[in-house]
Formats: sequence, structure tokens, C-alpha cells
Amino acid sequence: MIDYLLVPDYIGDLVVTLKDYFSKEPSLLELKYDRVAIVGDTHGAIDVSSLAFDKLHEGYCVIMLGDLIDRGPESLRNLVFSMEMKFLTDKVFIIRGNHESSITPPYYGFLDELKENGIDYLYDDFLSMFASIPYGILLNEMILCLHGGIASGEFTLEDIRNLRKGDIVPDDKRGFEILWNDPREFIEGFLPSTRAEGAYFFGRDVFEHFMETNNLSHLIRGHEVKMNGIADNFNGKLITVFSSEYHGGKKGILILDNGKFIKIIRD
Amino acid sequence: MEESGKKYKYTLINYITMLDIKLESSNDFSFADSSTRLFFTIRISGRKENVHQQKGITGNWLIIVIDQSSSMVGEKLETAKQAAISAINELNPGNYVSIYSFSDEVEVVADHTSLNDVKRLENGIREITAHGRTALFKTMDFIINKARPYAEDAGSVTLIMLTDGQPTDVTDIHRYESIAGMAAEYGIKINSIGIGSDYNEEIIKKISDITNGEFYNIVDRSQIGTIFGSYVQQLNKTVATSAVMSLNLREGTDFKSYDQNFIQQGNQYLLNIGMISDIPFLITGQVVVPPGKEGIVNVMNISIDYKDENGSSKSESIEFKITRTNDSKKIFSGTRQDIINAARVKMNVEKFEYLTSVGDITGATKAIGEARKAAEATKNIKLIESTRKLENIVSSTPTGKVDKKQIYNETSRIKKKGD
Amino acid sequence: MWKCSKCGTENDDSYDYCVVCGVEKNAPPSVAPVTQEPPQVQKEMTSVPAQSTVNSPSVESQPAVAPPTAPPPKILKIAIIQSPSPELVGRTLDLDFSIFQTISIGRNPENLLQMPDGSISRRHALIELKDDKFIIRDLQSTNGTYIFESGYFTKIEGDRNINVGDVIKLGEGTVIRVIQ
Repeated sequence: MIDYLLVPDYIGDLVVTLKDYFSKEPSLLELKYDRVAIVGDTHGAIDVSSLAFDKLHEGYCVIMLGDLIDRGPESLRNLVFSMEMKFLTDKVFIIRGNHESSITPPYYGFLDELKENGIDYLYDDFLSMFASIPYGILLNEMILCLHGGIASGEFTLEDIRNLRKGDIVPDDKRGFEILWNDPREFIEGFLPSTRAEGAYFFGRDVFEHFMETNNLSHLIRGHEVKMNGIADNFNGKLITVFSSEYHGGKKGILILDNGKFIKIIRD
Repeated sequence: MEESGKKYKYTLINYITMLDIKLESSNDFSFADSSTRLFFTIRISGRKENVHQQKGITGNWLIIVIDQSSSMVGEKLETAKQAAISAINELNPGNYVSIYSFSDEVEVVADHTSLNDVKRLENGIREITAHGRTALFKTMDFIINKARPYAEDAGSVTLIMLTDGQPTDVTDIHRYESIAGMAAEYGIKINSIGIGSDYNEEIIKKISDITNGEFYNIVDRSQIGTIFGSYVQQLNKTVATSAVMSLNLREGTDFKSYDQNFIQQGNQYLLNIGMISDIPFLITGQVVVPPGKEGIVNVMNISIDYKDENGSSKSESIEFKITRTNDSKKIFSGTRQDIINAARVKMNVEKFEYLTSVGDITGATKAIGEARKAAEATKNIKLIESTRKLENIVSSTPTGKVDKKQIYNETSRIKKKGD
Repeated sequence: MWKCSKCGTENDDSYDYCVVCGVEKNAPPSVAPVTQEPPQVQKEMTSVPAQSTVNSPSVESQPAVAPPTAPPPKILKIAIIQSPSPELVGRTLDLDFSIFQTISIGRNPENLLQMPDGSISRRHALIELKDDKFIIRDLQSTNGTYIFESGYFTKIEGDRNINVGDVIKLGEGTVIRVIQ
């Protein structure tokens, strides 16, 4: 049986097409939907991505918070499948994760998968596509979706809008922090993170200041392993959704349905 | 493309608050020119905000401690073992269990073990045999110290202890008070079951009181299984764990609780609640509002720190405020007689319990009479029956020979369960 | 029995407060609602000895459940800001110095504060209570102990005083903060 998803020519075309699609989306994608299924880091968990895509039949749109590749097996397939769903339905929206860059794929499995499938010559095209993916989604004017968290300094939604596409690493300090930062209780301001040089932990004070200044009600992000699938910080204003399988814990999908949050957790 | 122009107010309330904290006061007003004592009840229960999650929080820790002294030989021990086996089978996976048996020494059947291999645990339990005496102090000391490092990390520690005899190693109740105090600080709730007529109810009940656990006196061994089962059921339905209440007096003074044991640190009173399941947790007490200027008075602040299903620390708090006034009519019309009655029952039951323990039967009789009268005013049938039952026990036995075990069984239930 | 000066209820002598309206015994009678300031009422001592015929304690007293009588222990409360183990992140720990003057930190289980982080040495650092002050000392750890100041994590050499609010990094992956 032919694995239709992984036919090289098909993938090559798909990557170029999706790069085009992503490039047309602003760095801060603004959406208005009553019913949304939000998926966190999948890292190859194609079953979890499928669960979210099932919701499309019920009239939901799907938001993927990045980190589709690396870590888990089949991350290439997960990425290709998700790209395909975006292309076919126009109701799948993806934001960039820290793994959608040049830093991690050589070490965390994606590049190896490309090699195994004989398509490592497409690596640069993938990187180019990753660099065109939006950094954030502003949903219904009140909910912000980012992969990691807020960036340091005087940071506003306008700063996200102004981030340039095509930044592969990314080199932009703010772009980098959006993909790598983590929230932490018990600290104030920003503290250098143990994850990477240039990444920070952010405390409740700067988070709440950002949310207030930008009139936001919730920040939804992924990036951190949550064994129970979904967790929140800062009295529920920040929600982390984690939808992978490689971590051995539960996977979560966050549903927004006409003003209510509902969690779907799978073992 | 499906679009919506509506703007939603994404309220936080539905989503993140895990607890319902309800405080009711006997009055919303106090006298501006005199000290006023107010009764209050606080009711804490969980809210299920998440439609899809059915199971309770895991990561809880159940510790079962079974007396295996020679007097337990036969059906008593076998029933206890069977109850323990049922408990570990019913407890949801993801929780932890420790099983100890004790006589002259403590035998570790299982030490903070997961429920992956229940069969192995069952075999360990089946091997418990009856022999020896009752080194209760040594056992408690051992177990509490072993629990300590885990207790800080664990969700909640629920300990059930079953014994049938007098402790043979230490009989000084003050020493038990001491280690129970330690256990309370580590967040361990010790629930105790005394079976038969030979055990020391003062010591056992004191340990439970200090750690805010429940005390049961049973004569029929079949109740062991029911009691174990009720704890497992609660553990399987926890919505919050490691809950600690901090009650901070502002202008209020003379705070007392009639049914829970708070640890005082200046103006702050701490209470280890432990796990919060679907069964509401009740606190009944009083506080005094001093005289002063008319207007709104902040009596006390109550906060509860706890952990949710992800182990994230959360905190919820409420302020208890009342209005001081010179207008007596406002006070009289605002009186909540139901709160007053409920509090008076507990206040008198506690007094009754204390007087019984020091041997003042006359005083105790008067106190339980008051409790019964207040109970009748509540119209709560179970409460009326319980207080009447206690009244009968004291009045029908000759002075000095009251059955304290039976009494404490009732008073403990009235305090913790409310009827 | 005494009669409540506010609502007229007859109360048992053993009660310090009226069971109906809650006012204290010997309160001044009701004044008609006026706009002037209420008179300054002398706060009466509430520990009135019981009048009942037996030697029982006064009504309102609760049986003494003795808390430990030792002086308040020296406790350093720390919060774990970051650790390779996700379950530890956000947890707070109380380090009790009333029993031990020093608390050791390291990867190995014999440490009082065991941190599961491969970049932390087996015996990594010590926190000591010296002359009522807390100090931290790095024990020649491989990856170092750092304190966050002026925007950077600076390496700790020798003994360093630690105060409430200090953020300390151990090795590469663990960050703690003193919160009390």
C-alpha cells in the first residue's frame, strides 16, 4: 500500500503551497469563531491531531499551537497531515512553535525522518515554510494564542503584528521569546530561563500588565509538558495545552464553545 | 467561513474556580456600642467545571494501619484484612497506598506504593497474622516520620488506623498529643477506628482530633469494611488536594471553631483540610466583633490554598465583612436563627465532650441538654436523634461509668458530619 | 440568669454573650438610632469565672489542645521556580532549621533537599543558619551555584547571605527562590 502522504513530489508541492498560504497570513492572525478546538504541542502525535480535526465536521475550526514536529515518531506525517487539512478545509490555523525552526530538527528527530524518507533535500524548503508561519492568533479580540509566552520589555500586540516573516531561527529577540518563554509563579518580571540563551521566565506581574494593556482575557499556549494534558497559571488566565504522546502523560484538547471552555483529556 | 461578530465576555468564574466557599453568619450586623459575638458556618465543596473529566484527582495517599496484636486474632483481623483488600481494589489507579500492621513492632506490608500490582499487595495483606502486644506510640512515631517527606509532595494523606487494645508501650496522652501535632503539621489526617471495649478511647480520639480526622467506635466488625469504603469513595472523587485554610482575623477577635482543630499563629489560624471531595467540608465557629464606629467592618479573611488536578497551587479567598450599627432593629431583623441553632448544637456538643472526658457528668448532662434543645430548633431529625441518644446515655448510667467510647463515636460524627 | 440589655432575652449565667442577638453581657441598653458617635464602651474582660456549681471551666473555653510549646522554629520557605521534573515546578518547601543548622542540597538522596537534576552535583550546596542569618555555600559543584542580581545569574564564591526574594540557580536546570 502506498503511503500517499509521503510521496516526495507531493510533499515538495505541499510545502511550497503552504509556505505561500502562511506568507499571506499576518504574523498576528485575527480570527472570529464561536467554536474552536485548540491543540497544543503534538510532536508527531497524529492521533491527537486527528481528534481535533474530527471537530471540523461539527463546525469547529482548529488552532494548532505549534511544535508539530520532533520528539515523537511520525512527526513528518503529523506535519504533512496537518498541512493537508489546512489546505483542504481552510479552517485549520497553525502558529509557530520553537521546534518550527532550524535549531531543533537536526537533534530532535525531524531531520532524521526527512533523511529516512529520502527527502532531506526538502529541508531548506521546510525551514522556509516554518519561517512563514504566523507567530500568534488573536481570537475574538480577547484570547491570544502563542506558543511559549509573552516577550520581555514593553510588549504589545502591535509588536507581534510587526514581526517579520522569513526569520528562520528566529533572530528577532521578540520572535524568539514568543516561541521559548514560560510562565512561572513566585517570580516578578523576567528571569533568564534554563531552556535556552535568550529565553525567559515571566511572572504574574508582567503577565497581568500585558493582558490588561492589551485588553485580553486569556493567553493560551503550549510549549510545556503537562502530564495531565491541560494546566493553567495565574488564576486561570493563562492556559497551557499539551497534546503529545511521547511524554507518556495525558493529552489535552481545549474546546471553546460559545463562551465556555471545555477540556478534553485523553489517557 | 463561519464567523461571528459577537464579542464574548470570557468569564473566569466558570472555568477556573475549583471550590465553592460559602460563609454564612448569624447576622450581617453588629452593635456599634458593644462587643457582639457572631456564629458562622463555612462550607467548602468542589465545583465540577470540566464537563469531560469524570474521575477525581489522583496522586492521593491512603495509609492503612491495622492492629495485629494477639487480641485481634480470628474474625476481627480477617475482616480488617478483607476491608483493606477491598480498599486497594476500589481505589483509583494513580493513587498511592501504604499498609502497615503493628503489634510489638511495625510491619511494613507496603510503603507508598502505586496500585500497579494489586495482587502483590493483596498477598502481603493476607500474610498478616495476630501475635504480640500493642506498641501504639512506636508505631505512630514510625509511620508519621516515614510519611513526612512524601506528605509535602503528596496530594493529601489520609490515614486510617484500626485498633482494639490499650497501648502497651506509652500511655501518657501528652506524648501522643505531641506526635499528633507533628502529623497535623505535615498535613496527615489520622482517622481512627476503635473496636471492642478494651482500647483507650481518650488517646485514640485525641490523635484524631488534633489531626482533624474522624473517630469511630465500632462493636460490629462488619462496619470496618463500610468505613474503609467510605474513605476510598471520597479519595476517588477528590477535586482539590493538600487544602490548607488560613483564617486571618482583621477586626474580629476571640475566634473559635467547634468542630475543627486550628493551629494558631498570632492572628492567623491554620487548618489542614486535606482533600476536598464531593462531600462538603464544614467549619462552625464563632468570632467577636468589638465595638467601634458604625460602618462596614472587615472581620476576617479566609483563604484556602490547595492543589488542583495538575498539582498547580491555587488559592481562593473570601472576606467576612459585617456592618456595625446603632440601629438595634437592623440587628434583630437580620438574625439568622438557623445558623445560631446549628452553632449552638456544636458548641454544646463540644462542651459536653470535654466535660465527659474530665469526668464532670453533671456539667456534661446540662451541656447535652442544651445541645438537644438547640438541635430540636434546627428540625434536623438526625441531629435531634443523635443528641437525644447522647442525653440518654449520660442520664441512664450511674455517674462515673459512662460509656465514653459510645459517646465519642456520636460526638465525633456530629462534629464532622453535622448530624 | 441575666437579661440581655438589648433584646431582653434571659440567658444562662454561664453565657458571656446573648444567645439571640450576640451582644456581650452587661452591654449598655439600646440607644435610639442617632447621628452622634456611639459612646466609647469599655471592653470588658471576657474571662469571667463560671458561676455554675461545679468546677467546670467557663462556657466559651475550648478544651486545650496543646500546640507544641517550643519557640517558633526557624523556617526558610522556598519555591521551586524551575526543575527538570515538571511535578516539582511551582512547589513550595519549608526548610526547618530548628533541628539541623545546615541543610544540604544535591542530587543524591542523603541530601536533606534532594533535587533530581543531572546537572546538579551529588553534593552541590549547603544552606546554613549562622547567627540568625541564612547563608548559602557552593560545595565545589561541577556546574555552579548562582544568585540572580542586576539582571544576571552571578556565580557564588564562598559564603553568600541569602535574603527573602533571592533567586538562586543550581547547576543548569534548577532555580529556586526564597519566599519567606
